[in-house]
Amino acid sequence: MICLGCSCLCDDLEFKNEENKITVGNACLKGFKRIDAFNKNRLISSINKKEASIDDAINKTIEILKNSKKSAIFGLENSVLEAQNESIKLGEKTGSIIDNFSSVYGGYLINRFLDGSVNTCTLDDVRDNCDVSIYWGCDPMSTHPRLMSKFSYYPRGKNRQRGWEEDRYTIAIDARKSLTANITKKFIKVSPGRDFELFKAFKDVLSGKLPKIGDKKLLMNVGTSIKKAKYGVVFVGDGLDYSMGYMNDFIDLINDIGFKLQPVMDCIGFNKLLFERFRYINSIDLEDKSYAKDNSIFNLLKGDDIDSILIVESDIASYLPHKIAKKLKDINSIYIGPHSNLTAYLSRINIPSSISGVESGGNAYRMDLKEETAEKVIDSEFLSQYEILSRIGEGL
Amino acid sequence: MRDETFIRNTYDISYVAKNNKLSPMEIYKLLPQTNCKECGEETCMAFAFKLLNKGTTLDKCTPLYEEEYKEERKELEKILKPIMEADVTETGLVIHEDLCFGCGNCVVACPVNVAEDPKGCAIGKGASSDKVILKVENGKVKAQNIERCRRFGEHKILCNACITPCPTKAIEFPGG
Repeated sequence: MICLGCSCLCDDLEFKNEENKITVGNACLKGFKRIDAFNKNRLISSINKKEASIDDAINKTIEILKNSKKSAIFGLENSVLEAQNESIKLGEKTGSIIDNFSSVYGGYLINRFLDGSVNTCTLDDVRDNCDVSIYWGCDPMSTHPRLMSKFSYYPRGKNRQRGWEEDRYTIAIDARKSLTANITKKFIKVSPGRDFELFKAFKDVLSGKLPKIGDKKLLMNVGTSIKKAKYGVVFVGDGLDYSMGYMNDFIDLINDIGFKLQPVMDCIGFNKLLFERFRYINSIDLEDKSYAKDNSIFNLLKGDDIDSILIVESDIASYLPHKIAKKLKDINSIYIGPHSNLTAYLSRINIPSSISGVESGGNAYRMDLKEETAEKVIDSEFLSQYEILSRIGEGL
Repeated sequence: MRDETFIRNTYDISYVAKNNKLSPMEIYKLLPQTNCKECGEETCMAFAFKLLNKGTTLDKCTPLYEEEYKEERKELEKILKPIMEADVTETGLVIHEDLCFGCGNCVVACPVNVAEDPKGCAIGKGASSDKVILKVENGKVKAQNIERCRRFGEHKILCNACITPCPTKAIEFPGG
């Protein structure tokens, strides 16, 4: 089976279900807990905190969306492509604003990644050829546990037969000694927000000058190995995005030295769908298909433009500041998702759905845009997100 | 069934060893340090290593039972008691299940896994053969077929291929 726990989409899981006791071979703890949670902490369908049937909840949702002046759709990072397509159709019907998690972080990088101006490669290429990999501002050991063991560092590839000890060189750059930095060969510590200075120092080293800041010996050492690299890959995460924001110079340098760039982020599939249709990845007003920064979830909840919001499997309330997250209580908020969480608690209507990739099938994109098909492995009484969204669409 | 008991027992031993801060050096300090070879080992240090890995027992060291080393013997019996009470393990491989999160680095790095499963573990996929030593199950790494480990048997070597790639130090061999 295929695991949709993170954007690694591991395809070698061994699933066994014997007398309601589940064993999953080869999956990491993150993936296993996602599958194992099919009978824990499930969402109960409710309207205004009172239990109600799913049909009533869906009808009430249709009523709210019909009467609302301006509505918004948020989330779908953890859903399958079918449900994401359906949500775009629904948004076009109601003329709502559509947004996702990339407006909170990583949006600029994913945009550059999708429009083709970044030198990139597939993860299978990384396994076969990569000899120098840099993890800048990301911690795949925590966020994508099997990335290093399956693709980037430990496996033997077609042209890297001697494995990680001799053939591969890794560098971690982070604000603290993360789990990834524990196992990489070199670790460069950078103060929060100082990534641009370190980047300038790297630029000096690569052009043959002495760096002005940082540990000069270490930087020269790392610079030499970057120059020697035959196939280098830079894995970039949220940390760099937080500190650098618009990283044009960074991407230009990476293209110049012939390295590949791979964002270690989730929600790339939905962003690709939106990019193909509207040339923007988030904060889109589907009424006139325009992009505005005011349409991001943060600004929407700060202002008073919307009177209803439909959130699909995204616990956004636990990421936002308290004052802004509380706004979900004041507007008509509808939450669709498999499990109960803070966002579901703040929402007025809760509609339970099946877990995508476990209780319902569908397609999804890996972080390097390879499409995979997940299958249903456990039977359940819950409707899939695709069915719920299409029923709401029909009702409108 | 055997694997489960194996892991539980090894976990107990490491816990005991960690709590008592036991190391081969601590044991060596209390031994006669004469390298008399009466226990069958080459040196007293080798005997200390074997004691910690439970490869031998304290009564093999006959000079220790003479009047001269009475106090050392009592001290040794005291510090070795918790370890001797736990069950014997074959290689001393310990997996701390509370620290492991199933990333599979050790599965891919282990040289025996790679030799046994060249189309699976060697290229980063999950274990597809039954002969492998380490395998991830339910998000935790499990040890099996421990007799294939390079640390097992007569011609053992101090391989540490599964310890170095672990980001949380969930795998260890107490006593080196």
